[in-house]
Amino acid sequence: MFSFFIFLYIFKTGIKPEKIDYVYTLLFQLSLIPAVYINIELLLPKLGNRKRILFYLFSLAVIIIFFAWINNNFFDKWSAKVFPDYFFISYFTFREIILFFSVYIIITTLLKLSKSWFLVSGLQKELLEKEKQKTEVELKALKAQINPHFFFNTLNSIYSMALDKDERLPGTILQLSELMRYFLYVSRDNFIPLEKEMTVLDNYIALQKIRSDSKLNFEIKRSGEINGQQIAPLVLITFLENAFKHGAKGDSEKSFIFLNTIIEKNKLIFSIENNKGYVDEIKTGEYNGLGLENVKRQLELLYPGKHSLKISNEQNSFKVQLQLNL
Amino acid sequence: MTKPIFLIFFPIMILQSCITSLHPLVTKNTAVTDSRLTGTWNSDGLDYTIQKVFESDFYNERKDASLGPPFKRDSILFSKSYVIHYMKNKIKYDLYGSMIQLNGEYFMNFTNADMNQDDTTAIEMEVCPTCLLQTYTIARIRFSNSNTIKLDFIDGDFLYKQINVGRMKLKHETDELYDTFLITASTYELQKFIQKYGNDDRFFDKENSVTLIRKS
Repeated sequence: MFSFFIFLYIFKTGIKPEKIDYVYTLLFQLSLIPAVYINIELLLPKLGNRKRILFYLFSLAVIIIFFAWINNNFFDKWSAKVFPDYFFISYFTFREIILFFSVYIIITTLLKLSKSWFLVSGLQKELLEKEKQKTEVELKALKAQINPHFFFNTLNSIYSMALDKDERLPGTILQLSELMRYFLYVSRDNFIPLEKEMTVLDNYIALQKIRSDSKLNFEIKRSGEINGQQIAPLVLITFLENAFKHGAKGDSEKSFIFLNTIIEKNKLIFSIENNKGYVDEIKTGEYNGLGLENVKRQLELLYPGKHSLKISNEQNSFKVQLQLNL
Repeated sequence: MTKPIFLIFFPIMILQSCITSLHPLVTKNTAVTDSRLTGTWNSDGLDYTIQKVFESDFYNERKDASLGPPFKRDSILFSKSYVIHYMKNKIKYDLYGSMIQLNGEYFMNFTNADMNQDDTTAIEMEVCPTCLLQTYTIARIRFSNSNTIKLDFIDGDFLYKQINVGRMKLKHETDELYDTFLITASTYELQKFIQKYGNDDRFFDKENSVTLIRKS
């Protein structure tokens, strides 16, 4: 309809379009539209790819020439029989009609391709949005699994302290409550300030140190500027938690945990090594190692192609080295 | 100085209802000749002389004088054209006529060559016809036999009516003041139009057709 009025004003004879101009434009379009739709609906979907481009162009040229020939002959010959009371001719040469048809078909093809591009682009965007939503749901589920895992281990520790009637138990419970607050409120975000995660690590270390007495050989090193950096919550603490769980709870005479955190520009290198001890007092059964698996998945989702994780399971020690591009 | 834009110039044989075109129907590449045309003819008491331009008295009388750039420019066309001479009411008329064959029919476009008063004592004409913008009128030519030619002029009234009711698409200009119109379609469009509708008798003014009978 839009092109009809454009043609009308191109083809009009006088200052404003007359009845004959409407008739002529309509008839002109009737010979053009089939060529356009054959191209858009048939040739383009079936032949419009790189492998068949030559065949497509050849077919398109045939279609254009054929309908241009119909147009030319209709206005120069046949219209006198079909519309004996309307007098018009083909006002263009055959070459001009071919050129006209070609330009129109190129424009409509580009419009069709851009429409398809927008459609594909919209679908891709929708797909990405769905993927993002799926990722978020998955992350929430992973966090929901990490938290109980952490508390399960900590409560195991508190249970042991309660059995020993340890006087530090109230302080331990208080620190646990602070950690719970962190898990409940702060860790909802995908990324938090690195400073907060480090504070939580410190609190957790303090909590674990209370119950591991002085027998644990715990070495902690930290270098670099932590302010202004962001990190996914609960990633580092999971490794620390596992180190305490498997190391400090093992052979207390030879227990060690070596923690080294290096922060460079937009990069964090976190390495932790602990001795391997005997099994926990309370068996976790099939849930053993669940925390590490969750962190691995969390890293894949939040740091795709931006992290490296090396886990070395030696005879006497267990070592984790994580490198993150912040 | 105001120049005349155009004058719808009607020689005697071209009647008021005939079509007037800004562009010629015939070009030098499409012009054809026919020996049956030349000679002296009569119609309704008037004598007409038709000669090829370069063989005509009209040309011989003027060949030493300045015929102007348009004549030189169109010399190839004129080599295939005719001069139609006649006199009426003591005025001598000379027309150029060029012929074309379209769709099996002959068509000729006429344009003014000269117009002079025969009476040398009469006052001079105020308007020089050759100074006016050339326009063309078109007629279909049918040779009934070697001694009879029929000229059917395109019916201007018919075209005007069809254009006005929106049934004909042909470039034109109208002069509402004098209720006249001039066809401004290009030669290419004119030829295509005549090619298509040259056999349609609705396009020709039957009442004003001219039949020429050979005198010599």
